[in-house]
Amino acid sequence: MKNFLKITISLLIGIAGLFLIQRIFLPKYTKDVVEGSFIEEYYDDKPDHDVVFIGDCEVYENFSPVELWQKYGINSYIRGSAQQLIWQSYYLLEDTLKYEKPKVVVFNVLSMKYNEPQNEAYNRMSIEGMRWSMSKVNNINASMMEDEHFVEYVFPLLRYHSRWNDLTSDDFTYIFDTPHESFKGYYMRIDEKAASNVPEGPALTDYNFGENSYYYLDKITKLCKDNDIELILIKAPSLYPYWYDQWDKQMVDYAKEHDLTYINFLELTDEIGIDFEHDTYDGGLHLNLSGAIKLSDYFGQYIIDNTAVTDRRGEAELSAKWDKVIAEYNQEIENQKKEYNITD
Amino acid sequence: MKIRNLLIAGLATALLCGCSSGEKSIGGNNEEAPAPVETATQDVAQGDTAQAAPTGYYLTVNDYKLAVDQPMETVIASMGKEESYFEAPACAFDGVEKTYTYNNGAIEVRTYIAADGKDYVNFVVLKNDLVSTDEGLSVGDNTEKVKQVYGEDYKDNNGSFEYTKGNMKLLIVIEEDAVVSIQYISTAVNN
Repeated sequence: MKNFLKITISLLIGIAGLFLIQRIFLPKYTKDVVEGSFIEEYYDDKPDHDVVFIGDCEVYENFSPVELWQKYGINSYIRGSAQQLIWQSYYLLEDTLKYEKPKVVVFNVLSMKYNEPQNEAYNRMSIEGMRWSMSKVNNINASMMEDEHFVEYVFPLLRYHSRWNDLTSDDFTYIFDTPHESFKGYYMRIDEKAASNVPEGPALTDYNFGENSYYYLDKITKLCKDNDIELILIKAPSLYPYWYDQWDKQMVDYAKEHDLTYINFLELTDEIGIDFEHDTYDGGLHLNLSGAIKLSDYFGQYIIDNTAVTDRRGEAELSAKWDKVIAEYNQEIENQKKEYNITD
Repeated sequence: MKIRNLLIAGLATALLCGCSSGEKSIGGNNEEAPAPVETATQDVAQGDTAQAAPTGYYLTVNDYKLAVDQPMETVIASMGKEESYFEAPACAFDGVEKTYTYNNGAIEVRTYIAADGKDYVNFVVLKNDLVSTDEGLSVGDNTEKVKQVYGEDYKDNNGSFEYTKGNMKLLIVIEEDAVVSIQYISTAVNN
């Protein structure tokens, strides 16, 4: 009995030690690559959003949920991640629906261009923050590159142990909980870098999106229809990567065939008022806050006019929660003004 | 005592598991990058006249043999200032993909970042008929001319022609029987 107790205690201490070490070695995404923390942050938000965005950086850098709330009372969240592939969007949507049923789901279609897994580092940023469920398991299996291993997602220490010489004080400070880096999934930048000389894409040998991409687009469409959710397909107004006319036509045709709304914001930049001299921080790839506000103002009006989403600013509890986010959002604007030496 | 030793051994194994020299590093700011590719022209500096021939197809511009995988700093030193320049930062990670345009917009050079942190030529695109390939093919030529110039040893890529040579592939994109784009592509970063 005494031996059994000793063995049990030793095992528990060993497991706890391994868990602790694993937590230390996991990237914290607190300073430079903050986008890696976005997927996990969702679970801290009360899941009663009316609009949920899914997709790559073209959603989390171009739309501001704070602006949608402040101007229209739209309660939204962005489940975006860097180079989020379409099957990752599908499984993130499946995961989201375990917690809530939004009225509208917005999907950015740029990821249709990727028919196969692309890059482990991006995979991990899209997947590791998910809570464990069959959606996460299936997401890993759909996303892994040839040289990736499932067990390394279950025990990330096996993959990250070589970070030992990159560890910083943040890895110990945020061992169990990392600070929020996004504003309801939005990545804010207020600096400016005008777009110029944006190249067209080189001619392709085949403009048709791949079978795998369509397979998951069909699944997103079906999942939304089965849950009585309005799916809106969008192409965000990012000038690069290049969005070919041939790709656009496929999305127009798909939306028509499946009775969906598809909005190509690249064709609406004048109407929205986006000025690529001032409304982008990286030469046209992503909008800065000024551009995101314009785009959100435009899209928010569309959502209010054309969907079942309503103004919820009258709800005291929800408003109080948003007030907290808005205060942090405004503080971040002030912080970035100092960082980028911007005066009003 | 044995149990404790076992746990320590297990922990050490877990930490060391996969510690091979070839393992890719992730979790930092830098996305995984390809190693620089050795090319015959890599050491050509500004003013050098004895430039060795690249192993694959290349494009001669003002006596300079422009090829994939060359250090971009060498290209800039040899070809002079570009007409236009665009840079696209990588999403989330450090690193910038750069596009340089030359010869009235006819030549576009795009770069990749190798493991040494330097820019190398990813691909060269001929966009119009202001410039011909060294072998004499131009945008606008027909498919017969492609076969006449580069031969029959090609891979049919959805009706376009793909020729592999050395560390690169030459992609000749066809639309309605005419060449619309000629692309020199590095196989170091593009499968």
